Amino acid sequence: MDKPTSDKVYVTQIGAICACGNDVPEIGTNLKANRSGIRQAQNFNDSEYVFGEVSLNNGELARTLGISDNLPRTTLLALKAANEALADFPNNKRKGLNGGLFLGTTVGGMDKTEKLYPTHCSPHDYISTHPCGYTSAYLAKYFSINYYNTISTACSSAANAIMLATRMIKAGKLDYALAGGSDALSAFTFNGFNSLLILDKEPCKPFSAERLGLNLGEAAGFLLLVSEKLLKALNSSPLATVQGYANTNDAFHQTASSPDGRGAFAAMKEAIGIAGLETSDIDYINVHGTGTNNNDLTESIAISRLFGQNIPDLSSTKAFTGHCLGAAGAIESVISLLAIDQQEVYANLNFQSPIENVGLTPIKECRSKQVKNVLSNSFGFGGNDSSLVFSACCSHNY
Amino acid sequence: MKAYIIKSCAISPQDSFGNTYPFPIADEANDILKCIEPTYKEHFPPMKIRRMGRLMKMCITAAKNCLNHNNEIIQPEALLTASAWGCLEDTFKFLNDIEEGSGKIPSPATFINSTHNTPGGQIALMFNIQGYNNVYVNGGTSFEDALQDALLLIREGKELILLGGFDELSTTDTDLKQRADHYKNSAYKPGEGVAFFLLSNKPNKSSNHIKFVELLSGTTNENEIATHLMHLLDKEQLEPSSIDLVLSGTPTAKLFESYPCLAYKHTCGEYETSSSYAVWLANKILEHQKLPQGAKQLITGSNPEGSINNILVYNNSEEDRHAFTLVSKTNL
Repeated sequence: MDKPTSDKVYVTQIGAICACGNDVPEIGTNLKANRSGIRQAQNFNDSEYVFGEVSLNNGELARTLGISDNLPRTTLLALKAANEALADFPNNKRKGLNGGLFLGTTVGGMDKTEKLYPTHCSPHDYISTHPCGYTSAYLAKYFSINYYNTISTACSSAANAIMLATRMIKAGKLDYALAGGSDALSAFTFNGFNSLLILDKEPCKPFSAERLGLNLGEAAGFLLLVSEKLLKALNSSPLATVQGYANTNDAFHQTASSPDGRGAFAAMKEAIGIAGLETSDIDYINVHGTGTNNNDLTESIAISRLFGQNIPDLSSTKAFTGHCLGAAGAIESVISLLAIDQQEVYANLNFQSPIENVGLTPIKECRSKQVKNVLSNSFGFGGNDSSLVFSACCSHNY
Repeated sequence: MKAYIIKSCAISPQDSFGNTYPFPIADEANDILKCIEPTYKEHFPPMKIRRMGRLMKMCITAAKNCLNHNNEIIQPEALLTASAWGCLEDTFKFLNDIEEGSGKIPSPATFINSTHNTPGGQIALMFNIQGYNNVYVNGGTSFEDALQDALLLIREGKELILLGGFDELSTTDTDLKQRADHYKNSAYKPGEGVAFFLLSNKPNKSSNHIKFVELLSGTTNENEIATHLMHLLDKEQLEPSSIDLVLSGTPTAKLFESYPCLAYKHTCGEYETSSSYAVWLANKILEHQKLPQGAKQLITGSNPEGSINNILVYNNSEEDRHAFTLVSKTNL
């Protein structure tokens, strides 16, 4: 039986693509400059709404990657971000190691299926790329990673992928993992969310009393996670540890959170507990903060209940990226890690006034700060609530 | 770390939901194998499940069956659901709704019913399961991925876990996978099914257990696969001869030439999470010490002699991906 280890799991690299940047440096620059990526869509068809659309179209993504673009967009985005995360850890360095790829997604190949389906194309043309597992299988083959897994728990998918990867490394089953998520914009999701009447036609106002709903976004993000043993062997300088994690279920309603945010409360509390920390150790919360009436209220209540009088600095960065659904946990983990790397916290754009009775005021613009421990929340439909805690490593200069 | 099977329930194209075992294997004349659905109103007030899709109804019924102990519903600490395709029927229903010129107003209920975590979400909601909830949508090993996480959760201290594997054939129009010849390389007809398990870190008086779940990918070489299996058994301190029976998802595995090897997909059909049915079946065989009925199921070897203690389920649902699950009798 594999011996479980109480060693830590380290993040050594990150890769991402979203509306506010085609790679991590560009995303970082725009976060610092408080510059949102929410705008009218260039490639995705709808002019009434604004989206967090990635600025590259499929052809451009494919050319950048040097492959055929007859892949679903979810796969192309994932490849782009994964390439960035693995840039310093190519195949020849990984030989002989037990690697895993973990992808969180909700859209899968639907962006391609929905284009071909109405044309009554033969389903042969889209059947194999349709399932969520297709993108993971493709990436695993592309990067020669033996083990792969695909998670789909709505908006907490990527967070759960990262959590599972972390637990498997801790259990000694893997030496490293590429963990994150990818979701492309799709008419399916757009129509779905629209039918639920939770979209804002204007840029979203997370945690604001004036909020009217969410903006859909698309993104991919990956964390390169390594075991303590591998970190020493690589002599790498890590970004942070995946210090804590939790997955709970609100079990209240399929699409709404419980009034006291019990699932969210439990996820945050458990993640902080696993991290071996107290609530007072959290320097920054990257909240789920979609901009919907229900999430922002219940998440605020859960945060107030957990942190009491000492609410840490917090912000939703969904006004930069849009709500990236299955990839939200990934792009927001990348942003949380940037906060640690750059020792700063990011803006909750478009905030006007605090939600009545709950009164949380988020950060309004990027500023420098000592950041050691970051809590990242991802709360989804189906009551799927997950939280992650990232912690700066001892060697970090801050 | 073992996972003890406290209870299991399968809804399949056979009479698996009924309480008789072995049940006569239905000779399927159709070109697909569709589930025999339970009479839902015997399990739920109709109002409670009227909005659920077909797959969802099967899942919630199987889940309830596993959680029902002397008419009390017990609460597990985790809920894991595995499906390669998810709620396909509602997915394509919604696609039809949003088709331009369809004249239909997209229904939020259809959208929500189509999402992959709907079964996991609805089961958690109905039975108030507030713990770890995860959904594995990983093609041909989705069920084994869930099983592996269950074993990991047990190692981390969880005591009771509900786990299910399922995939459906769409009933409106001809199923898409069927139309696309998705299973053209399979020896079996497209099928569907739902199988749920209540797993524990502790045995009760009659529970069998899952001893290991092993995944292997990147090879189609029979010798390599055989060697890997030998190493695995060695690591688990099992003699190859201790495997009394193999349930194989593929009919041509030379790998198991010297073992009594039964097929199972002629009864449940070909689908990515069909190994969940096989594990359910393995549990039944161990419980009753009887093989399922029906001819043409023995691929190799002769019927096992003496008691059946260890059954290996082999899932080769994608060419170069292999999953081995060992279901064993518990010696208390």
